[in-house]
Amino acid sequence: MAGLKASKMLRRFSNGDPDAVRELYDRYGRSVFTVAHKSLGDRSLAEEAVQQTFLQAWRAASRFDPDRDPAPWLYAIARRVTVDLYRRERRHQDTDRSEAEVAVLSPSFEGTWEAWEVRSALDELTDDERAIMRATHYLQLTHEEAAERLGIPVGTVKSRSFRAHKRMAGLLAHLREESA
Amino acid sequence: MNCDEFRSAVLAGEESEAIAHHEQTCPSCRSQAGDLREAHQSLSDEALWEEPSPELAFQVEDLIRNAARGSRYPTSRERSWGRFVAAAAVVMILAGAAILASGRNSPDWDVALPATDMAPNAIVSVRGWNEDAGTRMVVSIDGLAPAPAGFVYEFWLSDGPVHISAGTFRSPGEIELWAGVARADFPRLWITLEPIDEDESPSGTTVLDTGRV
Repeated sequence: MAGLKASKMLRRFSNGDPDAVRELYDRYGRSVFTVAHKSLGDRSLAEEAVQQTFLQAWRAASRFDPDRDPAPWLYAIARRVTVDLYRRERRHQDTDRSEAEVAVLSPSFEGTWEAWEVRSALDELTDDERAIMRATHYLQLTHEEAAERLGIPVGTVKSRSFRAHKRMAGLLAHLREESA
Repeated sequence: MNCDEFRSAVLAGEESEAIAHHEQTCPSCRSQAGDLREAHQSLSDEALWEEPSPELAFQVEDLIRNAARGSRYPTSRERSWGRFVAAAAVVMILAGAAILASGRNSPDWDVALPATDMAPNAIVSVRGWNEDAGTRMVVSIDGLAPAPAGFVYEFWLSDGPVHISAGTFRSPGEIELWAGVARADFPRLWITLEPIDEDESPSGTTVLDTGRV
């Protein structure tokens, strides 16, 4: 995402261009959602966090260097927004706690940057490749079970699986180089 | 086993003698192996596979389009408040100069505004100076979410059904406001969330309020 294209897109984003907003959302919206959902454990709150993250990013875009990778910047905004939402919900749920107690509570962000990177890499895969990854990792299916579920030969599952893992390993290495 | 095969296999969660041998003999792959094994663990995390609703993209777009519209093309209400704020700024500069000249820096009164359920995290305090021309206030706002697109916060002084606006703001921080009335005559201080429209009366959305005194 780094480079001239991203730089142009971020400049358009800071000018409020809806197409640029959509472009940034299409690239990073699911990663923001993943971080918020992993931390808050609630879909609707996570979606609220996504909206607030992009709004705050848009408001701060003029202070962002468009030549830098926007991922760590968006991730930092998403974390702040998530903490604010978490504290708001805790205050609603736990009226017995003092304001000072609630103010210091924070959700766990352990592994969320890694989840961001993995989600970003998954989003770069083709639909077919992502379906294989979902079947074998999340659903824990064997190649045979995945073949039956996806309606394709076992050999195709194996070849797509190798291709998907190879691409994803390359994307992860690239993402880490970008954000380093 | 080459490097691509090694990385794919480790990301897939495989372990074998060939993988162990490649890891021992290839420094580049060895440096990436830990990250790839962590990524493999992440791939079974449910949160990673949850999808936001398709409407969310449009909601984000609308939110920012409205915010952009609000910041660039102020409505007549915003323009009228803009003129009010400009006029108030001139008065405040003069009042500030007078205060500095007289050395009267400490406020005449200091009030914390209780938050309603609309903004339970908000902490707002108001320091006020009673002047001949009215009331000068410095408002410290913390823990209040920025006003949503198409809305502003509005600060009011009231005496029963009579409401005097001291100005509007969007985000937390420290702001200076001015009202051309005496606090003693308008004891209630409150903040509402107002849609940006032609209606200049308070909305029913109260976020902080000293209450009807």
